[in-house]
Amino acid sequence: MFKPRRSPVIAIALCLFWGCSDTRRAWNDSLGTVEVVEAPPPDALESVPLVPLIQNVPLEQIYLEPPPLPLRHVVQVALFPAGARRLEEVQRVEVTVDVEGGAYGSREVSVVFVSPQGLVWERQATRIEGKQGTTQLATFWLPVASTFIDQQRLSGHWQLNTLDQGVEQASATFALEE
Amino acid sequence: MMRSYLGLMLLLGPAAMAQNNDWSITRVAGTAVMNDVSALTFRVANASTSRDAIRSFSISIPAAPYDLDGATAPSGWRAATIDRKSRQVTFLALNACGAGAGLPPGSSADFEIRVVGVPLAADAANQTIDTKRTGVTDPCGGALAFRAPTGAWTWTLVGLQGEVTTSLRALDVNDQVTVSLTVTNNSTVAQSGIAPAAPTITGSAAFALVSGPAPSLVNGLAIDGSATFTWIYRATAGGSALFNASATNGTVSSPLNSSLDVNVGVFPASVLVNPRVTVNNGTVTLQVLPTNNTSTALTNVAPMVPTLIATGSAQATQLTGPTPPTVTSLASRSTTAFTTTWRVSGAPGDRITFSGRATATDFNGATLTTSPVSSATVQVQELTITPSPSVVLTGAGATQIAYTVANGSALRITGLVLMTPDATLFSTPTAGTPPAGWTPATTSTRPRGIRFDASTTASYLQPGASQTFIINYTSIGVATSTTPTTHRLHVFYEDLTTGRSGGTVTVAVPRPIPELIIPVAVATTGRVYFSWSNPTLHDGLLILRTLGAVPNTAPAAGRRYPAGTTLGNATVVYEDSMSFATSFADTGLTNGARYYYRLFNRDEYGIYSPGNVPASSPNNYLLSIPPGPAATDAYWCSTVGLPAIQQPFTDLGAAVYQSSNGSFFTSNVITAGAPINGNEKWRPSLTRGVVQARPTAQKLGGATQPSLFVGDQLGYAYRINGATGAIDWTGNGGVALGEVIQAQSVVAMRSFTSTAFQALYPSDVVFFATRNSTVRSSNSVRALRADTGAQLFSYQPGNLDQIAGPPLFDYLGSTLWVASLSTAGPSLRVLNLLTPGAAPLLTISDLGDIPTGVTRQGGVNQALVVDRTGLARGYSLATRAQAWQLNLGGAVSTPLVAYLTDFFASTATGVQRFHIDTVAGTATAVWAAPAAMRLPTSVRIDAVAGKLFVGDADGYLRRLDIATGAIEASVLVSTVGGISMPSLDSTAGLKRLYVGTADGRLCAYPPSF
Repeated sequence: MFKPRRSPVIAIALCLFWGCSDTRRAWNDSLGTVEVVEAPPPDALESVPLVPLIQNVPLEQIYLEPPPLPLRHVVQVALFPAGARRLEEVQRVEVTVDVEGGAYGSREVSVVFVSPQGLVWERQATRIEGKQGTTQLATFWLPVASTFIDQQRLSGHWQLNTLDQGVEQASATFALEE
Repeated sequence: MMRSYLGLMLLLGPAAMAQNNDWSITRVAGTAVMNDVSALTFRVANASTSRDAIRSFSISIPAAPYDLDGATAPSGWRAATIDRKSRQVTFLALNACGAGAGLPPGSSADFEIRVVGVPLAADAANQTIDTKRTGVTDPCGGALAFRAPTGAWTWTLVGLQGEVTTSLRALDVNDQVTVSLTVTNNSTVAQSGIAPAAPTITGSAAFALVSGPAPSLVNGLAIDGSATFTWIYRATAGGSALFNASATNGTVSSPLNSSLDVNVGVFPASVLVNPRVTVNNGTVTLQVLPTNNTSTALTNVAPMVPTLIATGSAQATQLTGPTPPTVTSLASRSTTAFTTTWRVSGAPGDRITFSGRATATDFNGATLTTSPVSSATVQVQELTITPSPSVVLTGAGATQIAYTVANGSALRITGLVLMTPDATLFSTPTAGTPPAGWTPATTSTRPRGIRFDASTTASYLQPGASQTFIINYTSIGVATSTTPTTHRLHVFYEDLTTGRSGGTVTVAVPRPIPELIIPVAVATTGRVYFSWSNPTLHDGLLILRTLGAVPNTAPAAGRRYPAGTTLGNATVVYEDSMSFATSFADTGLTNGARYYYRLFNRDEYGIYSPGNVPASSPNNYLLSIPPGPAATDAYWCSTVGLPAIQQPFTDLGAAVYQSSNGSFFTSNVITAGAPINGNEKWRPSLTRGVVQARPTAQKLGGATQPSLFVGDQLGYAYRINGATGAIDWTGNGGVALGEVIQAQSVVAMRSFTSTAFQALYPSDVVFFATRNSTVRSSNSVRALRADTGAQLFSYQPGNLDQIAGPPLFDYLGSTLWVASLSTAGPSLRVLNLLTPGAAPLLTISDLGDIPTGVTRQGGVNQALVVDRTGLARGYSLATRAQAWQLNLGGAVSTPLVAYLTDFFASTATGVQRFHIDTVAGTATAVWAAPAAMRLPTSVRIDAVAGKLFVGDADGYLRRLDIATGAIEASVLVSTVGGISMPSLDSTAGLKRLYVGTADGRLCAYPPSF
């Protein structure tokens, strides 16, 4: 146990140095818990004048970089080569999606092809970079001739849905013939 | 000060004056925030030339505008007295008079005090300690002649509280992260013109700004109001980094606050700890969350023992975990979690931070280790307040928040004030029913909020106890971005002293939440077993089930739906939070019933993904039909939800592998019985494009597990590890071979090839062929090393049309037979692999399109081809001369299948069998009247049983007699769309047929259906 050698001289010096207060110290208990001298409740302490508690100041947020415009997908579908319609002739279905607005930054744009049987055939995805005031282009290809679409003779009306960050945005149709 | 110093000199005399005892005090960290508990750290240095140590240090702050909250001593010291009344802290060295105690000359230590700045209208600079009551000494008899302090101890009292958060903490290079700075106006007046400074980034990771800040300026920020500024950054280099941000309007400002670690790389991690404040000996939960950003699965993922970084006397003792101890396989682009619980002890104000790491093994067997990543800091407090819910949705209606107050002090609490939070976000708070023994709440003006008081001494909140208080808000305001808000607590102890604490309620703004990664459902008798992988942005998930129809209602953001509850037409069958579980078994199901499941990922704010897995409507569900015990029932069906009509590959008695239109490759375990029969062998392997080519599987070099070679519809070639699902390589150095790979690949096993072939090729060789459509004549055949994927040669003559069916490698002749379409040039060629640069041995121009490849007829040593019109031909493999030709009577769209000296052809209307007479040079029909089917697949032969198995476009799996062609039995596998060519596993005891379906299932059937 630590026992301080507090001589009268030292005690007087301490008083002179810091000024003697009513603060209690527990120096003879070096391994004890912290001694805390508490303050009274804040009602008695807060000396700052109160200001009106509620101020009806509307919050205004100013954007130098304008907030993104509403999201819009514009879809175009073309069969390649031009003029081809039959399953064994259509080499691919080309889909272009003009992406207008939406959140800034990298986003996933995807397209889902739905077969004439009403089943999703496949989903393709790509990433675009949403930027202020620009339209982004997302392109997709669906191979047709000599694929399972041809082999399974999946002629008829196909549908495609576009999605932005997993949320459906637009749709379009195209037809493949026997 | 002068008075004290002169007094000392007079008392101690000339000898003392000769001693040169100097010390300094410097503020080294911290800024005081109005109305918030703020830590200020002061470095005390002993600059004496004597041998006198500093064994005691007292520090005082001015009477106004500060309250004193607490203090934390450095190692070797303790806070002996915290005098909140006179705002003075006295630190004393441990064993103060012992040898080596305290600060000898030339040393220094950092002392922390925590203050609460009283709100003002503007920032106040040059805040100072009370120098008259701040000093050092040696109370153990050493010289006392320490001079007045020197140093730079001032600080600024600021009016804005700040917090920096990031949308992700573990990401890959080129991924983007949203950085948010939320400022709260703690001053006494509304503030306008607040603008953020561009964040600084410290650490090894690098980022480029994509956009922001948004907004760039905020006006009219009310007292206690909050506003959030956001930036979007793209990671440009790996490592770990912090974002540091602040805001100001020139009148008030926020300190420079830092985010938690953001870890960037192929194997990054984040570390979560909850709660962030605890009473002494409280329990916290730690989660280490590694993310696999590689392109293949990682194995043996495990956490490392965390490192603890403590201040004061804080300690942490592990109680449980890690759970799980390891994760066998972590799918590409997914995250898992290892959870431990810890007991945290210490004095009020003590803090502890966990630094966690994880390790894993990549597909090469190399060990990957994440960077060390720090958690948030856990602080020990006498008081804690835990709001529930801790997240509310922006613009929500009437909201009730329950605040649980835990008393970790030694005193009883007689009353408390739940201080009013941001009024623009939390409207019109009113008290709920007070706890039993507590009086109805009253309005408190100083501090502003709602006050609860215990009715009697018996109902005081006891030390170690907790109590919950309810506040109702009429509505939640609209936030433009996710905003954390502080809800403060002020308590009154029985001895008339007070205490403070705070908890966070986040106002969440919906954001895009990624879907769960490739959920797979395996239906067995009475049961559906789900497996999935979790994206990084994940806290839990929800699984809905309906019978006979698709779930028609999506979950609402911010709401939880316990299992068993109803949501629209669906029942919640599984729900979790703070969980990275990856499987679930739904049991007690009715066999034969059609169950539709939808799965929703959810983040920590309660925002759900759209639930568009495996695709959007009409296929945003998984269909599972638990099979019954009837002979015509499947053993199991595994559902991926997207067309899987390529013939599966069966590793006999071990596993079945299947590609699908989902751009991934699956594997299922083959066993004799439940419960794991049909479950995933490994999480699906991700390919870049759709794989419609059947895998070519070989056990290379005596391996026990096959290597699977596939090409996709974006032109990439892969070798998939059958043991782990890892992509061993993407061929040609990761460069696509062409626009599309549609044809099955062919492997030349070097050990079976000729000596001349072995002399030319150093490894097994795999051949891929392309289906280019932009320039039809640009197609090629590529030879890749099977071990590395490196290209050995490319045959691209400039007149080779699309190749849609598999080539044939002839071991005896060291030749490759290639059949193609005919628009760009000849449609049948024989390449001499011993002279790969030379002209083909055979080129035939007048055969028309051959979309189904080349079939080896080993019984007659011929190569069989059939054109689009149904004209079949046989060529001698030895002489390359045509042996026969025959019009099969209809178009053929699937490869011919050889048997003995015969072959089977599937036309649009049925299956036919033909016999080849090598002497006569003819092929003739064996069956007079083949059974009718619509678009049958190629046949799978069971030669031992004398049966054929075939699928058709009407969804039937049929068994035919091999001798007559008669249909013996049929089973309807799919009611929508066709099924694949079956595979047969003839292993004793495991004899099964495997078929894929257009509605995305892979089913195992008994051949005896």
